[in-house]
Amino acid sequence: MNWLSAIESLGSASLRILTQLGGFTLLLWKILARSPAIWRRPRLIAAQIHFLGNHSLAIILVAGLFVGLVLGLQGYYTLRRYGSEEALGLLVALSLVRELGPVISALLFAGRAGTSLTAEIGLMKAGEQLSALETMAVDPISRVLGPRFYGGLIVVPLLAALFSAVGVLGGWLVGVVLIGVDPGSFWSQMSDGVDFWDDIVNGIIKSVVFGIAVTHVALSQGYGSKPTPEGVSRATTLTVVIGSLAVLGLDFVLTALMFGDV
Amino acid sequence: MTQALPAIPDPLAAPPVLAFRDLSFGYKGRQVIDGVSFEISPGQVVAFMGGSGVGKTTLLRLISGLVSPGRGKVEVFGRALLAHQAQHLYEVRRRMGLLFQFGALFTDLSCFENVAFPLREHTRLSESMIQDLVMLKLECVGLRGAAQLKPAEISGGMARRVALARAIALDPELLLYDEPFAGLDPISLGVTANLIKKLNTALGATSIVVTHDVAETFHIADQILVFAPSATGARLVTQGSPEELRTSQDPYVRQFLDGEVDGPVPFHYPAPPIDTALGLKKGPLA
Repeated sequence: MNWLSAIESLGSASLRILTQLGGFTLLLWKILARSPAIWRRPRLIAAQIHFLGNHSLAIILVAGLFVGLVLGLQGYYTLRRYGSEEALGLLVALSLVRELGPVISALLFAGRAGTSLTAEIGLMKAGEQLSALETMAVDPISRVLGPRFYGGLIVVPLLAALFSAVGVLGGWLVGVVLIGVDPGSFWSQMSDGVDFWDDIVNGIIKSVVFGIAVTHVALSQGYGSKPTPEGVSRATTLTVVIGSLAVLGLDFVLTALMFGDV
Repeated sequence: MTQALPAIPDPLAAPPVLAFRDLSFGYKGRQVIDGVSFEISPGQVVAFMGGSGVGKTTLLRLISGLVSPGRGKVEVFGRALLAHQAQHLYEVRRRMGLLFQFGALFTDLSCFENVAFPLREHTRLSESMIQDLVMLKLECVGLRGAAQLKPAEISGGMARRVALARAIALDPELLLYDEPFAGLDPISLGVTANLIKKLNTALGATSIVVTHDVAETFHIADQILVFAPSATGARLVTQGSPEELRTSQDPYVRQFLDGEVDGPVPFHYPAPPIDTALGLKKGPLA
């Protein structure tokens, strides 16, 4: 009888995951289908860009600076072995623009802004504010979720760009100012070696995808949370776990698609 | 509005604002409402009474289309409520106001902005017009002075009055109150009861008040519907004026109005006998 209950629990777990995945996708579809209505009120989206961006700005800038500093140190250590310290600028810029910028800023965004989105919507649900919207004939998906979704989608690439920019500065600080790499070759190698389409645009595409993933995970967790203190706290935790794993998984897929043949 | 109804003596001869037709509803296998039918004519303050947990709030959720019935139907303003048609539902909801038990104010907005919210969402009024309307609505509930405060800065009773101002912002024809008296001090209680009666007359609306507060309800209600629990969900026990209910001989109505400890509603939640539970006697638990 033991194996029977094992199969049973496997089945119910798969069903539960499939149901959640279905709900997740359905909610994404509902938001996308309401896009015209959502974009008719750009002020609401702008307010979210301000709110989400403002909240994550400090952590993104500090993290970007430190990642750049470390990249400068580690990159110099490796490159010196091959006598190509001048390529430090290129190494720092490529690592940041192609990988670290989009990935780390999305991870930090999940922890900083994603959790606050989930908690906010979960508590709105617990306080019957979402039901109140419904009874006032206001659709909570286009009024509450929609602007937050597009806000996150726009803010994450901006944050990634800032992250990369500050990271490059950090690499320059360590490489050029502290260690003494030639500034001319640091910058010229960078500007020669970084391709606009291959590196920068692909990096932007990545962070747009991450922005959609993280924001939507946060929104659907909040919207689907049980309206109790435990339910909201669980949803907030799951936002970070699922959001971060989704970013890392998607990063692998996107990297393979974009740079796999290089 | 046009549908011919079976002959029911209706003193006002006006079509009902609200009607339930043999409606049943359940949450996930547990039946909550069992075959309820009634009609409400316009202009009245109507109370839905019954013990806690009997499913009164569910009745309000059904009327506002937040949930849809398993069997039977709800008719609002003479038309069947179609909970799955968002457009139709939103049209109906624009004509009703629902006051949640704890107000459900938007905590990030000031009282003023809370009341202005439905106006901003559904009308294209100028800012000065909205300003005037909101102040009038807040004046109605006596909280014009609290306009700039956040919901966290006012008391629960005040929050409920702000929520009431928000619910009447669009001058609804049907007002729904979910436990408006729960947890209020005697003064706020009297104030709220008075407001419900006054607003109903001023707006020319119909009010549905879900409550278990006997004294206040008998004060303001024109008609009272009493719901009682049963094994298969809540049933409508009686419908009548406060005077008719006072003389009612129905055992459940008597227990409810007189507040008796035991009666048709037992003191104990269903459980195996106490000696079995304590292991004194061999039973299904042991």
